[in-house]
Amino acid sequence: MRKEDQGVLDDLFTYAKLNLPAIAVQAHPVPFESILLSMLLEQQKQIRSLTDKLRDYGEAI
Amino acid sequence: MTVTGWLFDAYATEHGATVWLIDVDGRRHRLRYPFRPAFYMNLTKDEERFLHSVRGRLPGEVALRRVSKRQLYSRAAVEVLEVSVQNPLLFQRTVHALSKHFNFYKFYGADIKAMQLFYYTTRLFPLAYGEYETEGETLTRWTLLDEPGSDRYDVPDLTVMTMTPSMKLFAPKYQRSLEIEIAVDGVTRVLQQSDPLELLQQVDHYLRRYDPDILLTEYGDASLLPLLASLAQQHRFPLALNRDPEAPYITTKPVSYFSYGSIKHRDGVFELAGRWHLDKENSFIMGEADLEGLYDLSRLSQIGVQHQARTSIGSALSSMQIAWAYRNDVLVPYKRPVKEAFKSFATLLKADRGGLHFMPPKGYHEEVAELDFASMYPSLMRNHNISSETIDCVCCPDAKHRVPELGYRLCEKHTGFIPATLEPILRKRAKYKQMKKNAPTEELRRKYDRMQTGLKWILVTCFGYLGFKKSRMGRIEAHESVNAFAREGLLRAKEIAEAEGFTLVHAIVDCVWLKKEGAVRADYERLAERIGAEVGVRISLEGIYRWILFPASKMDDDIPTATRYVGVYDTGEMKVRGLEVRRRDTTKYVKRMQNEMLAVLARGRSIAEVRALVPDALGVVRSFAEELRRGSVSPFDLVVRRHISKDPYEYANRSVNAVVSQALAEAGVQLSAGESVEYIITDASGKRDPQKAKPLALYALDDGYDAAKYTEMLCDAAETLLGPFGWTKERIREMLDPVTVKRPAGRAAARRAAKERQLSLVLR
Repeated sequence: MRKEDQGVLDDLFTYAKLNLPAIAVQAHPVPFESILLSMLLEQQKQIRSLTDKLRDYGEAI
Repeated sequence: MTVTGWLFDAYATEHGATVWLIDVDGRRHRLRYPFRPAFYMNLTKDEERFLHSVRGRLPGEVALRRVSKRQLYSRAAVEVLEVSVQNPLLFQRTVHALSKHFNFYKFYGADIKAMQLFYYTTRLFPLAYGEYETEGETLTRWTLLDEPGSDRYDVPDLTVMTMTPSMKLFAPKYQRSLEIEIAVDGVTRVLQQSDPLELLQQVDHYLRRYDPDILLTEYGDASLLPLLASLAQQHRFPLALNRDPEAPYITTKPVSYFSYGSIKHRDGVFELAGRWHLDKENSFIMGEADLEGLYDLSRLSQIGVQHQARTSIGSALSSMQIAWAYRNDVLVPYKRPVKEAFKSFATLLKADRGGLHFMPPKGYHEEVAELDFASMYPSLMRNHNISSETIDCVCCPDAKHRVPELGYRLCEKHTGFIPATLEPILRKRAKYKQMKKNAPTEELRRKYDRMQTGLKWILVTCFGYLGFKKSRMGRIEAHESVNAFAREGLLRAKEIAEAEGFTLVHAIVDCVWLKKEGAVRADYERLAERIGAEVGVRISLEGIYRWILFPASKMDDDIPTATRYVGVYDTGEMKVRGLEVRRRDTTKYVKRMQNEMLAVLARGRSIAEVRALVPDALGVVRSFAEELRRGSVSPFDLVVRRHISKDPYEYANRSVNAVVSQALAEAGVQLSAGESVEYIITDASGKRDPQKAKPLALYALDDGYDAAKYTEMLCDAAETLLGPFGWTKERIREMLDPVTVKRPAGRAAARRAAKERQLSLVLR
């Protein structure tokens, strides 16, 4: 893996860690599904917040 | 003759029990009570014949008789053999001898101490007030005018003599010679050990002259009393430590043991007969609840005061459960016979989970309110009748009442023994809290607070004991059920709050942090009422924070931690959990700095105001760091305290713990795993000084200290508070010393490397 990509992958796993308690309560036999969903969730949160910002910005100009 | 007064002390002798009473006029009475401790055996005819055949070869004489009792789990009546041992001192040995011939599940109530059986079967309890009938020196009958659960009672006027080492800087085991300080009746005297016989004579003189009821010591168990007793033996001196000259001391050896992932150490015990020896350094409960709390607990648990002071807090609850069994003619299992039921992998995954918690958003937040459930776990056990024998009971196969997620049935016909024992504690604690609130004087307020604290600790342990593998009457399924109900309760609290427009900031097990634009006290109180009514456990508003900080994890800057936070309530009061100032392993100097920083930041009423105070907080760090660099910090403020996990020579490395404990061992101080060591770091790198650190007991002022290492600790503690404003510890260190500090290659690089290693494992 390229060095510049490694940091990005680290970020993805940080997203998973932010949802650790939920993953633990879910107690899925194969936790990787929960880990992937956590990454998606955090990404979606970012997309939403960026979309909102863009819209506000568009309305402002 | 009738003695009106209190039961003071009781201990086993070969003829039964010796009982000490203190009457209302302050006279002490020593009486005998004929008492034969008994255990029970459930045997077949053949086995019973066999028992009769070996009877003559047992250590002590036994009497046998058939009695009817009930089984704990099935509630079925069963006829068992009562084996009473004529000499109480031989009780354990008799059980041990028989356990070679019979399986452990044939025995009931066989691993209970003889003296506990005395309290359970007579229903007496320490400090019980009543009218005691005597014939000569024998106690015959009594009428109690008191009960263990009572919340208003008198305690006799007890004389206290304190005995402490006069050199208080280190524990006596670090000292070559010993000076003892004795205080009684308002007078303090220092006794020197130059001539052992003289020392003994002096101690004996005070013991005989004042004849104290309580000998209150520091390090009495670990050092003072064993030392005095062995001196007395060497010199054949009749030292009056015991009030009863015919009885021996009750002693045990120190032990190291493994619990919750770490090695612990417990000092030996040195208990007296007819007099209480209480060691402040070897008593958790006295530290928490003082003498009043100890008396209260002792009365409730029916464990003798000396023993209650030293035993783990969980034993109090265990004892109340066993007392319940004896009151209700229920057989107490020997060695926890109920093993965990077989479960599928899927059930185990679902069942084996703890309390629910969330991850707080990292950093500072304003106008957050905290709501706490009151005694959540015990209340759930009481409300849902959760007990070892009520889960999947035989009497209710179609029970509607089930555990959420797990589906275990809960008994609907009988109250379990756990709810039955918890009820009086919950009631009594609520009463003490009420009495504390209404107390007319500050002194009474503190007294009731100590008494409610003692009870709080029983409630804290009641849940863990269900899952503890050595608890005789625990059951893991009950433990899992409480967790399941608690998770459901917290989740419901969250849903209700969100439905009412509040935002969930954070939640841990039994408390939630909420936020809502413009919400005031009354809004949160209304919400608490609604949650309480729906969940069935009282929840109340702990307070509203002006600001609260959830710092980043020390392991990973990107994520927060669930249990570390600091906040300032709108009353100005501060609440700190898990930060350096609260940790036992933080040095005094670092604690002082963080406290001063907190005092500065607490002046801010909003995040904007806190941000404006950051330069002042950095000023505190700078002045502390400068004092370190000047070398003018008192070494006592730099003492690091750590538990050693091994015996000194078991260490294979040269860690600071290893070198320090070995240095102490060479100086003749015996340490074992689980004890703590105190030292001052002289050179953490070990480059200038391979010794790295000096034990406090061997430290000399010109040994100096490692200013760089201690500065690092300061920066660490400062980062916890200022990190959210961009002040990482690297940046703080640079501010302190812009010239010599290297660029922060250290931690970030190490983290990256670790992550890379992890990654290569995943990708391979």
